[in-house]
Amino acid sequence: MIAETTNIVGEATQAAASGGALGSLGINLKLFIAQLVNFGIVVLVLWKWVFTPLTQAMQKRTEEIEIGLEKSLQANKKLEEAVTEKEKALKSARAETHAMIDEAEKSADLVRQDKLNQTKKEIEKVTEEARTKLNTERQNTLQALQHDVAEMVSLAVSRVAVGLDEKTQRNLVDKAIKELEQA
Amino acid sequence: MSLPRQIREVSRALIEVATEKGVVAEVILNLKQVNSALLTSPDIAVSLQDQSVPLIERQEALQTALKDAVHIFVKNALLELQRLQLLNHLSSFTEAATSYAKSLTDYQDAVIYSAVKLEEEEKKRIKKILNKKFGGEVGFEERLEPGILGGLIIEAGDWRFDSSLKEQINQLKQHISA
Repeated sequence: MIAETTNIVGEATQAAASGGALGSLGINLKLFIAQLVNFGIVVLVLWKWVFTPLTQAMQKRTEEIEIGLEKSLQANKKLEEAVTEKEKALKSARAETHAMIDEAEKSADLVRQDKLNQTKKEIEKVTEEARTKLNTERQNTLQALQHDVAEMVSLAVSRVAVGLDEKTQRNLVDKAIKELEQA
Repeated sequence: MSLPRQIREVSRALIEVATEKGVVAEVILNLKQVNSALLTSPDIAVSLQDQSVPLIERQEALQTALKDAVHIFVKNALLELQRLQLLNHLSSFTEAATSYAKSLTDYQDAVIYSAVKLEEEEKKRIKKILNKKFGGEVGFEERLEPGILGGLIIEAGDWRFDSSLKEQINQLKQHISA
């Protein structure tokens, strides 16, 4: 390596010594061309087997990432949709549940009210029956008492009437004749 | 069963002459009294129609029995029935006479129930009231009924008047029971 460098420096010195503008700048034209060719080859090789595959790989990777991102976005969107749907379903279910509960409560209220009304009616009926029975018994007792009193009065008056004197009998006939006149 | 023709004729003649004289009620009452008496003692009717005894004697016996207890029209009618041998049909005769009296005049039959025997003045008052009420002559039969206790019950056809003490006691009884 040191030898090559020494050669290159020697050649550059010779070139400079040989003259020309490039020579005065210390540039060996041949060497320069050779280096350009080498550089071109390197560039070509790099372009062909490094840069292009790398670019393609990067492009592919970018596309994959983009697809992945797209899928991810879609997945997110679907997830959001699913969440929305779920919330919607939950809301609907909740509303239905509330409606069912309300309906059940109303039904329960109706049943309870019916039971209450029925119980009230039964109580009223029993009370009314008891009242009627009591009234009937009281009425029967009263009637029996009245009947007994009437019988006693009738018997007493009849017994007294059997022994009426002549004057009283004549008065009764006279009273009857007066009533006949008014009849 | 149809009545013998003579019964119809005699009863009609009796009512017609009684109507002319205004004694229908008395005649009907007399007939009922005699009928009642003969029903009580049926032997009398048999004796009065015994053909083995001359008619003149039987008629004298009937006149003696009746004396002045009945109106002369009734007495004559009974003598005629005796002559016709129809005294045993006196019930039918009385019914026929009553029927004629009702159809030919405004006569009304009545029965008066009383607990004591009515005095003549009371009967007159009752008769006057009933005549006025029925617009014609009312003949009534008096029946003693101590069961009514006092007062009067009068029945004439469908009409009934009850002012008896028994009825008043019943009304009192019903009033207390009601």
